[in-house]
Amino acid sequence: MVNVMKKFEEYKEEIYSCSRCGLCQGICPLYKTTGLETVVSRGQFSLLNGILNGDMTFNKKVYKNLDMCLHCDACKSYCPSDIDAEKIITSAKIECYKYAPLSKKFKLFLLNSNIFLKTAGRCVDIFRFLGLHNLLPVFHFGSVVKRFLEENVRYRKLKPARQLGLKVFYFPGCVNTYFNKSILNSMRMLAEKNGFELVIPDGLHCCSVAHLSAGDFETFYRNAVLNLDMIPDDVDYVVFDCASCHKAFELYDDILNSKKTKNLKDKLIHLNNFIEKQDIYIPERVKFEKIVCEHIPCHLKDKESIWKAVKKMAFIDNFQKDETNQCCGAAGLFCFEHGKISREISKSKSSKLEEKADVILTSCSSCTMGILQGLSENGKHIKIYNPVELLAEQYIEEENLSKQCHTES
Amino acid sequence: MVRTLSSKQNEILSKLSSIVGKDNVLYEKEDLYCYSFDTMSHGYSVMMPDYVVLPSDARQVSEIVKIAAYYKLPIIPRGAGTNHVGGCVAVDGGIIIHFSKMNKILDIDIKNLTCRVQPGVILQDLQTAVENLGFFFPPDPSNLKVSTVGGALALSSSGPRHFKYGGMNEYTLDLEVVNAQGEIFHTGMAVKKNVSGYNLTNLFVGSEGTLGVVTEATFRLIPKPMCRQIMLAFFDQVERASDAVRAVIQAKLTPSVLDLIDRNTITTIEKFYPTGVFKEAEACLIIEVDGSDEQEITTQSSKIEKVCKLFCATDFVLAKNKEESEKIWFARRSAFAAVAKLAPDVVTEDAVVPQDKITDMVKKIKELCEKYGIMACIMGHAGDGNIHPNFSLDLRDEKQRENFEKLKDEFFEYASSLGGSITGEHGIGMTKSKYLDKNAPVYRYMKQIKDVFDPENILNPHKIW
Ligand SMILES: Cc1cc2nc3c(=O)[nH]c(=O)nc-3n(C[C@H](O)[C@H](O)[C@H](O)COP(=O)(O)OP(=O)(O)OC[C@H]3O[C@@H](n4cnc5c(N)ncnc54)[C@H](O)[C@@H]3O)c2cc1C
Ligand code: SF4
Ligand code: SF4
Repeated sequence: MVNVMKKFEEYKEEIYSCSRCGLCQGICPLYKTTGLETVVSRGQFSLLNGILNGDMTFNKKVYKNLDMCLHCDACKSYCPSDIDAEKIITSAKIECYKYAPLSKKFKLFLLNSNIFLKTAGRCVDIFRFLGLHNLLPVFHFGSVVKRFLEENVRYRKLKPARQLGLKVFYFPGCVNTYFNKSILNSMRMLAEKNGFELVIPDGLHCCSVAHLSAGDFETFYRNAVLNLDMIPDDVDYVVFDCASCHKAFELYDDILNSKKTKNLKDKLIHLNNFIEKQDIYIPERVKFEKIVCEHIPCHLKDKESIWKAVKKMAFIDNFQKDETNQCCGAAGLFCFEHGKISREISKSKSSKLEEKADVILTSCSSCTMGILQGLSENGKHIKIYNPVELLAEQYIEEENLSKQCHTES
Repeated sequence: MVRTLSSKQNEILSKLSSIVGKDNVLYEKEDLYCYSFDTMSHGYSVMMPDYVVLPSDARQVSEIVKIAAYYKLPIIPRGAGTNHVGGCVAVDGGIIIHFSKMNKILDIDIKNLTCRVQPGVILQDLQTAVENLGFFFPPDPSNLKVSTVGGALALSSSGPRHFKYGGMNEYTLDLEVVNAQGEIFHTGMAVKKNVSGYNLTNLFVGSEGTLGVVTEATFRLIPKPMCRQIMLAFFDQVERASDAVRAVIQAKLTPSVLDLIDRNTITTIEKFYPTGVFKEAEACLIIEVDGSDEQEITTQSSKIEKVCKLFCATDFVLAKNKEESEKIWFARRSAFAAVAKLAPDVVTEDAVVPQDKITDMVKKIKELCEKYGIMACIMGHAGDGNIHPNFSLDLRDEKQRENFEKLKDEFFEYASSLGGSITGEHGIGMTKSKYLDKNAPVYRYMKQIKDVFDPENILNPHKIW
């Protein structure tokens, strides 16, 4: 395994250069929620300094403390010394992954098992078919899961409107592949409407961003190699609807630095930017008059990309930008491990969205979970869409309209 | 590493847990380590508390203090832990009371223009809340996004607005305090005037947690100024800038901000946060006026411009609109961040000299930097004669550390020789205690006061004293 990523010890200077000004407290969602100095980057650096200077050694408790980070990156832009806390914390977790709790390792194992995911996905399909998913709300967290499984868009064959002639590799991620086909359906409709080839091989692995954040570097590395192997060399783009999967693929280059990753570097693109940049067909005869608010995922590379996609989708009448820059609180496995804290953060974020939104747009599966969790805490029922779902829905709407016109005339 | 506790420590732990709940007591080494510092810079040894507790009300604080009193354990209050003087490190172990969960604004009384808050409230949150109602709470340390009411009260923190509006003591009407025996009492009343005996409220403001633990504060509010105008004046000599400041004051003008930054600061800000707002100069004055109407602002601004030009300002810039004002404020607020990028450590010092001695002080800092090979960016609230050199260095280097100690000794000695003070807003804490002449009558009286309130010396020991 040739890892070219920076190792924990190599961050020594950065860790030391934390001036302990404490400004990160003003932005860290975990500090704001828990009030604990141990969770904010200043506290984490203090601990890591202790390890570097020999006062402390890696152990279970150190791992537990390091694990109290949403990897949201909020502190980085706030830090006067420009320290990349998220990267440093990850590098330290890699160093002490062996001390991670077994329960966490088990969750990560399941996430990495296509057999488990496939079986679970099948069960969900059967539950959905039998209507049993309606019983979910009797369980704690069940109503969030139920809504998470609700599909916004059903597949429908559409008339092509463009011939882009591109070959696009689409990485659907675990949620779209196994549990909720709405985005996958929308993606297929987008490809058919715009005349591009969609490559989605069977047997893709988890992007493993969750494994990396947990410090499980081995799985991350293995999945990077396996996933990259499945991408044909002649694709024009590798597209992601999820900000976190996109981030993982960007990081593949950091760890592998191979010919393949170099070749792919300029082809990796988030779906929002793909919609923005390509000559995508935009229905003109429809209007979406609801108030659409965005939630910008922390991992979204181009923070303006939802807005850019929306600008292109001119049928959206009323769009409100996300000025909060606040994490949704889900952060991958975090919401399963620290439910109470996670819910509190989600609640605070969702409250801000609820003030205005009829519909919420976001671009990450984990964020969808976070926002749903917050909405559910506040007893609100607002639909959450990925921009491509809204686009696909309007394609259908437009075709329905033209059919109506035909029958009327 | 699981910390092995003695039976006495276990007993204390279970008592603390029964007061605040076990999730609100930290006792493992890995957690305590994160509380072994504040912004006081590196190079000092790690000083860990025995416990950290996060209470949610005054009753809990009182119970915690009673336990500390019983076991004779130090009590160290902690807000955001951003003071520069080691004010919340645990020199002899003890219990750190972290106020992050006592962060509620309890009441904003718009009829009486007062507000009542818990000590963990962030200053900016308080300011935003009162400003939304059309009122104003002026104290503005530059880190007000994180600085807490309790910390700001204990250090009497302030910022540029101090010149016009005064500091925390001007606005504090009453404090709820837990004394060293764990009793809860009030130092004053929620009224605007009160001379019914000694002014204990003012005694507690600036007492650095050594006389009692503040659990609630009542502040007076004032109407919010409706208009502001910011401007910059550049000078080719610090002396001219300083003379201009004096002339502005003598002309009976009262800007809400009258700050000075030197050449090093200007170039460092422009290097890391290039905005183009700062011109090449030896010194720049950042001046803001505020008031109730545009007319008042325009008159003041033009008078200030005249004065600055009279003192040979090489350039004078008046922000033309909101964007320009924001750009200037962005550049000004980036000063600390910019300086922090120069070297692994940045240490901000604080001294106050009579206003007419600013130039001497600045010259002395430059001379000392030259002598000891250390770089400083100098900023200051010039209207108050408050000078903040920000030293960039690497405190891991023994030589630099030694030199820096010598530099500081000479810096404070010189400030005192000019009739100045060794601190205007950062406090004494641990690091400046050695500069106080404890035999002087004023400190002998202060020590007697300390002994009255805290005979067993459990309240923030080693701070000030
Ligand atoms: C980047 C930066 C910029 C700064 N700018 C300024 C500035 O412009 N002006 C300025 O004056 N200072 C400034 N400071 C210094 C300092 O941060 C401020 O004085 C701040 O108000 C301290 O607040 P805190 O909540 O961090 O207090 P802490 O550091 O937590 O505590 C400070 C002192 O108060 C005591 N204390 C805290 N809470 C209580 C309580 N409830 N009861 C009794 N005692 C208590 C502590 O024991 C300690 O002695 C700055 C610091 C930094 C890092
Ligand atoms: S903002 Fe950056 S430099 Fe300041 S305490 Fe946090 S991590 Fe350290
Ligand atoms: S990455 Fe997010 S959660 Fe982690 S320390 Fe920074 S702000 Fe806090």
